[in-house]
Amino acid sequence: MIVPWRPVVFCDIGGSVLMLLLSCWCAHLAWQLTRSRPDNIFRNYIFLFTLAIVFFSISRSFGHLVKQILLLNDMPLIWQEIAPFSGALNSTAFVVIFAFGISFQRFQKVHNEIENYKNNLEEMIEERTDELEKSRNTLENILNNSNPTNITDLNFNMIRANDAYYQIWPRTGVEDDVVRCYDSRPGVHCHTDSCPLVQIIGGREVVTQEVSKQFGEETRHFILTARPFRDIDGKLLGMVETLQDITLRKQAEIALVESESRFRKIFESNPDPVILARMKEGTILDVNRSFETVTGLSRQEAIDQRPEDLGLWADLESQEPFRQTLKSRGEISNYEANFRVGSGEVRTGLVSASVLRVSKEPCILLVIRDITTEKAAERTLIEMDRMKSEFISTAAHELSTPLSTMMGYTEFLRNPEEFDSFSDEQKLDFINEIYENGESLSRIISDLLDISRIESGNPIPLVLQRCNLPTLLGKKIRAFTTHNPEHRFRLELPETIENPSIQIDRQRFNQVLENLLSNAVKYSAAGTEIVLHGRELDNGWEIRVEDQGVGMNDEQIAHVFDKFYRADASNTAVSGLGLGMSVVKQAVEAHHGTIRVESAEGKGTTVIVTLPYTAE
Amino acid sequence: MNRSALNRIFLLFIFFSSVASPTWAVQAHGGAEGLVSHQIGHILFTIGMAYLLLRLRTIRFQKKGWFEFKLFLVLLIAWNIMTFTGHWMNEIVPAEKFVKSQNHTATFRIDNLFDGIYYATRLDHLILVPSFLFLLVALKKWRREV
Repeated sequence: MIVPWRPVVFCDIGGSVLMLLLSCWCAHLAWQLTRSRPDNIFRNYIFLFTLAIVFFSISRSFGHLVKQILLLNDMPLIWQEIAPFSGALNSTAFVVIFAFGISFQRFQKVHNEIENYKNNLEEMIEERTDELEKSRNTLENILNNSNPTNITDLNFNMIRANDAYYQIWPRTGVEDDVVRCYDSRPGVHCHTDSCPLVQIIGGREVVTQEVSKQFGEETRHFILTARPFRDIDGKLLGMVETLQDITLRKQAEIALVESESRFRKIFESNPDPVILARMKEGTILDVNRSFETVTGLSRQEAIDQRPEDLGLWADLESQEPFRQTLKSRGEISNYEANFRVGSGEVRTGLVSASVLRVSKEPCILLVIRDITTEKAAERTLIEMDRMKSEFISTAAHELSTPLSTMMGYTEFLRNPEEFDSFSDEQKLDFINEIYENGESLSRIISDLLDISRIESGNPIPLVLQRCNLPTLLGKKIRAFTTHNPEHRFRLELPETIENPSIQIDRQRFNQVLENLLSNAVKYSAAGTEIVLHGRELDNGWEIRVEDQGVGMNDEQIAHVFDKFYRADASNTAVSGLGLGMSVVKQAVEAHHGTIRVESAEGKGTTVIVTLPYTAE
Repeated sequence: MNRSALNRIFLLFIFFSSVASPTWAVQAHGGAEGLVSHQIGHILFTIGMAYLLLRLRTIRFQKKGWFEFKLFLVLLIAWNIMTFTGHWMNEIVPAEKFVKSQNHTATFRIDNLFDGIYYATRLDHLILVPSFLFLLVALKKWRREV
């Protein structure tokens, strides 16, 4: 079969021309493709692969066209010379295309890795963008809140502040100008190590300070809280400061401090001991100065101790009812209790207590009024009342006895017939009895008048005269010997007396001797001896009255010179008003002398009186 | 290295220098060699495209354009086989099969299947041009996606 060769030539020429056109078009599209996404490695691969294909196609098509032109123009020899180069070019293109073909997997792998990396990167960017958006919203929220807030960079430039901030610290200068924080809000911390930004740069995570701003006469107080301001990588960019208005709280604190100060002054200046103790444990929180003075315990010693541990409650049994009453009522007034003070002395106090809260803790405030003196006065008053009653009873008895005797004898005088029936000696005895009882009454009244005079502050009047003391003593001993034959009396005087003369009120001195000797008689058993000693001293005389009577104990000795005091006040006791020794003491002291008592129960009593030569 | 070893190396150098001929120094490249290297290029081209096609077949591409690209590869492989066959046949087809007229080939005489195949291989642009059309379509689709 004979087939024409012309179709082969036409196909070769036409195909080559079409291939040239298609190749250029493909190269153009591939270029556009890779230009649209230059970072896409797969598109780059397609572009290079297409270029290799296009290179092969153009070289081949061009070669074929040249071949056909040369052959058609009867230049086969030239084509024979060119043909190896055309073939070599095609072969080179084949190798390059082969290389692209087998390296597809590698490109694909790199492409996938890059795509994965890109996807991860995009996800990460998306996450970071979300985080940034959230951070931005948070920052906006921070800035938009009602508290003054500002952001300051590391150069002290205030890069952002909210309206609340500018209401307190208004803008300075032009709005866009950068303002330094220490210009906007100058304060005591500026340019010092306590500056919040300095501390934040130094590594502090939170800085809290108190700042204030003067508005006319009003001062507003703020709590400043500064925190680091960092970028997403944690690099420090500056600080965020938030200020919280604490003016009301501050005013309340100041009021509280003033209140506490007032309370402290009242607490401290209270003349009564005051204790502040915890309700639960009973331990002392605070005490005032009066407490320290009364108890002798210092504040440091008392704090954190319980009153019972300090031994303040003298009577622990009275503590429990006090606590129960306080617990049930919440307060207690004038609860009488005995307390032991530092010296060991037990004192009586009226305790008033109430429950209050100190730092939200229930506490007891105790005020103790020391009524020991009042109690003693009360006891003295009661004693005085008792003594007064006893004195009235005794005085009535002492006065009525001689009075009754006198009235009995005067009854005889009023009835002459009966009086005449008695002998003259008996009549004389009657009159003497009346006289002696009258004298006794006179003495009692004289003592009462003396006491009354002394009580009213008037001294005992003395009529001084020079007397011979041994003579006076001798007369008195003889008188008592006559009237008290049941006792033995003895006068002891020195053998040689240099100066017997002494300046005294004779009547008062006799009164002193009579009282001392009559007491000796009263408190001595019959038959016992009573000795009156007299001896000269350097500047006067010492007179001792010594008996062998019942004697006295120490308490009786201590009260022997008290008014109305009687060593034995029972009905069976020795009669008397209890004024004698008191009058004696006043009389001796009026002479500038001294008097003291030495006695022992069952062994008798000695009263020692000293008198100067001259009483003036 | 001792003196005797150096003497032996020197003697060997003298021997080989004295027996050298041009055949050993320069390799000649005849026309057949150019054809062989070109044919090897076709084989490599085919392998490369077949491998690429294989990789693309194992990967599911959802996007447009890849089908056309695969068709491009298939046609390119077919073209390579056709051209490879044509180059081989061109060396062995007898010259008298080509009927010349005015020093140009006017007709070709087909006596058997071999001659028919040879004639068909000369029309390789009928495969190559469509393959490039598919490449063009694929590229256009990819570009449009962008």
